[in-house]
Amino acid sequence: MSHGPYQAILLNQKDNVVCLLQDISAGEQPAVDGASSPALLQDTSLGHKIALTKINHGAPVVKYGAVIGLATKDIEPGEHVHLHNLTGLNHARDKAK
Amino acid sequence: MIGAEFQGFARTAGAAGVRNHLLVLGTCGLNASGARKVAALLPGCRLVASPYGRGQVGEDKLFHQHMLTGFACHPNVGGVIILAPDKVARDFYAEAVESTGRFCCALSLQECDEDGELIVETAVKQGLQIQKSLNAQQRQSVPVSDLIVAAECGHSDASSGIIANPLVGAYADALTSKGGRFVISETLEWTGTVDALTARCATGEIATQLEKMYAARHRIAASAGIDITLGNPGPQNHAGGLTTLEEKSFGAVMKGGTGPIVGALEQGRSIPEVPGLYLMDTPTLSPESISSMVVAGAQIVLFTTGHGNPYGSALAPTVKITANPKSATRLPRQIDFDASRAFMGEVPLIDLLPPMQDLINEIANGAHTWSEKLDEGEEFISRQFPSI
Repeated sequence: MSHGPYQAILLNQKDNVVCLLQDISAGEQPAVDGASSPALLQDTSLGHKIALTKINHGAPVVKYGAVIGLATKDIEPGEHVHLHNLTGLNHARDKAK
Repeated sequence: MIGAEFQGFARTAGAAGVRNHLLVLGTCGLNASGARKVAALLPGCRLVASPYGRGQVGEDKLFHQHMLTGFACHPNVGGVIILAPDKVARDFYAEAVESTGRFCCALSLQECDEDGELIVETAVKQGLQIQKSLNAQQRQSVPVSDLIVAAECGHSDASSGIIANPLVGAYADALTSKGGRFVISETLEWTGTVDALTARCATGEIATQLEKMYAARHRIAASAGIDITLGNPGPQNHAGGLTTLEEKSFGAVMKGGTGPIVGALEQGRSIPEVPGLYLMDTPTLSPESISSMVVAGAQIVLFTTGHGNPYGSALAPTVKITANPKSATRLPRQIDFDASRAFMGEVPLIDLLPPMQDLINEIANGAHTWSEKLDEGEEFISRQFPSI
């Protein structure tokens, strides 16, 4: 797969994560349209998210300009954001009752 | 750019069409074979043949009638051949179609001495006349406020949530800002986003209606022992980078854009004249979901896909959009708009909006989608409950 100038995408200006458009190695700094990304703290795969800024334990993680869950520990800039440090809000279950 | 006007077929009643179809409408399973024969003998016509139509009761009967009437009086339909089992059914649909000023030929088996070949011969003869009349009609400038675009996603992958759906959402925002209307559906896809969606509703009534529809659809799942929130997102979603259910659902509802929600509609309910974004309560299967939005008035469907999906509407041109470069290459006779350059990081996502708008404008003005070129397209009617 060929790649252009952008290695990650910021989906909304309010977001505190960017989504990777290719596999990127630790230490590399992905080029993002409309944002400046920190260097990655670990190897991270296409489609996965990294933190743009520090996200404190309990703070919202924002993608698409919407809260997609809460940080379950402090997340450093450039850190992979996934199951180990992000949990959903679980409002869905309550609303459906 | 989305202009203030498009070149459509103005109607005496209701919104203009982007097509001027002749529809062959089989109103009952007893007419289905005849309707298929008639459609085969009238090149270019569209076919909707219901397998039901008798023994239906209550809301199920009303919904079936509403759907058939809605297909017959769809903005993209200029003329209808109605095939009914009896005079009562024939009159019911004929009155609905004739009141909108559309060309109409209505026949019943009862009035053709139950002769299946006679009804076909009569319908084809009259259908050819209607086609002549339709072909003589010209497109004219109509306001973009007449345009209703629906969005659907099917066989999604990581490229759908990151590129294709947000791109379609950007189109939704652009269209509604110009006075057009946009609709998305598939209630269970909103799971985990309902607080954010209700906060976007233009009024408290709309928010309450949306919450009610959402809870009701989840109750249907629960009554079958299904909890849509359990194990969702699944292992494959996790491997692809999706962490939470909210994230997965936002990736889907992003195809409606970010604007205010001006209506929460029951399945198939006609879209009011107020411009903006509508949410419709529907089942998740694309054919049922798309038919529900089409019958509500959508003249064009934007269908995002990751791995590909050949399904299209019979009445509304269905525009296939993928951001998966492999699918775009593998499916040259399916994908109408290739958004993969944004997925590969070659261009910012928003740079693809103008060319996609241009394509949708061309399709509104008469250019054919792949599913039209290949003569694919169906409409389906969801059952509400069993017949007697």
